[in-house]
Amino acid sequence: MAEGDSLPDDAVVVRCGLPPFVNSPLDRGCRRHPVGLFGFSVQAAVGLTVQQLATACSNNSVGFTTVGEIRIMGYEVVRTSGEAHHATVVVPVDWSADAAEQLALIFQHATNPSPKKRARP
Amino acid sequence: MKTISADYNATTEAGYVCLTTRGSQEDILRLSLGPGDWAWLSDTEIMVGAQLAIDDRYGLVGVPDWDTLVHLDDEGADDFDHIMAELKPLLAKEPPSSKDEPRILELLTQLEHATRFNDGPPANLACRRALVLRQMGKLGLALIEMKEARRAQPDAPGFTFGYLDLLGLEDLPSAVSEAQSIAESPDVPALVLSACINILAMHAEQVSGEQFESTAEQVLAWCRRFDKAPDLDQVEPSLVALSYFNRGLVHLRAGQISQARQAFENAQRHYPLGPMLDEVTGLQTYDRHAREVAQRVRTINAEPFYASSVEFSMQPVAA
Repeated sequence: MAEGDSLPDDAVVVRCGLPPFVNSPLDRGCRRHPVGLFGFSVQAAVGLTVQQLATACSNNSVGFTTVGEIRIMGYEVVRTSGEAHHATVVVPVDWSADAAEQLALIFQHATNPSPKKRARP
Repeated sequence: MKTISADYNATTEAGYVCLTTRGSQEDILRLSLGPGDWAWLSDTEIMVGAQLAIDDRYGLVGVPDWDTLVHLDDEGADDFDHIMAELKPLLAKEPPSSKDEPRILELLTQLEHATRFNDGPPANLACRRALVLRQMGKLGLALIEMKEARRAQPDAPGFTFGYLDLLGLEDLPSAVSEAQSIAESPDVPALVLSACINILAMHAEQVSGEQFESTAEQVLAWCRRFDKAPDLDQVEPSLVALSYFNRGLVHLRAGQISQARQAFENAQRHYPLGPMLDEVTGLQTYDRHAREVAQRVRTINAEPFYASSVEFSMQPVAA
């Protein structure tokens, strides 16, 4: 899958951290990606499980959902460059904190079975 | 702690953390940080020290030093008693083990986050983190912790000593300016003066000709002030020895061998441990070996200060 491609509905989406991300709200994680899309970062891929995608996260907890669920909420998920299976959930530039809280609620909690152990670069 | 909100989901292919998110940008602006600066990145669950840099594609990023990773989301990481039960034996361990250093850093950081203190986190907590980071060789991060301690207690000589010691290791030209400014005060405590002497002696090694002569004179003048300081008895023997070592090295380089040997013998008498034992008194010429010994002596002789002067007693308001 190439950068800029939309992901299919059944692709799993993982976000590092404890959902519903109260202490690090989704709207505060938003930025403009170099390809020009505005949104927040996730791990997403077709055919990979939550556990597999969570290996990119150092956090002990992750939130997960699917691209289809995010689309139902009115947002697009696009493959973008970054670490591992990086993707961007595209949101409006003026995305409100309330809207971010609503979207955060669809992420379910999972314990990260193998938090990423980072080696010094 | 100098902390930037970070989103670890937003990482580059190289594993750098993008600091162009709204949350990160607000904190960077508030803290007036820029490329080259060190800071802690946190999503409130994990925390890591990082140096800010510009990535050609992603803009401002944090380059994490993963050796300093702290899990705030571990089981027991929010429990004061749990943390202290593990931390105290590690701090008291003799001899200390370098393998324990990352865990000590993690526990100290968890402690600060897990506990409410009467007047904010005690400065000695930041100083303890500075010590363990210094031992881990993370000087940029150690320095920001020591600045934090000094900000909380600007009049505490120990924190000014630690600040100068770390600044000398991380950025000698800035340390020389700071030392000269601080030593201008006639009331500077002996402990702080010992750090000023050490910095100027390091500087003396890097200059030549007339500049060496004037710097050497200033080192010796500060040493004379140090010897007469009314609070000299409160200074660690290792630091008194270091002042003798520094004047010995200046004499050695100036070709004043007998004065150098006398100073080295005094150094050994005050603190007959580590490199002081044989190597220092054996120095006859100012050469590469002498400079290597100097580096070791300066590193090792400052450490007892951190361990002994920072009392680790703290009581939370509520765990």
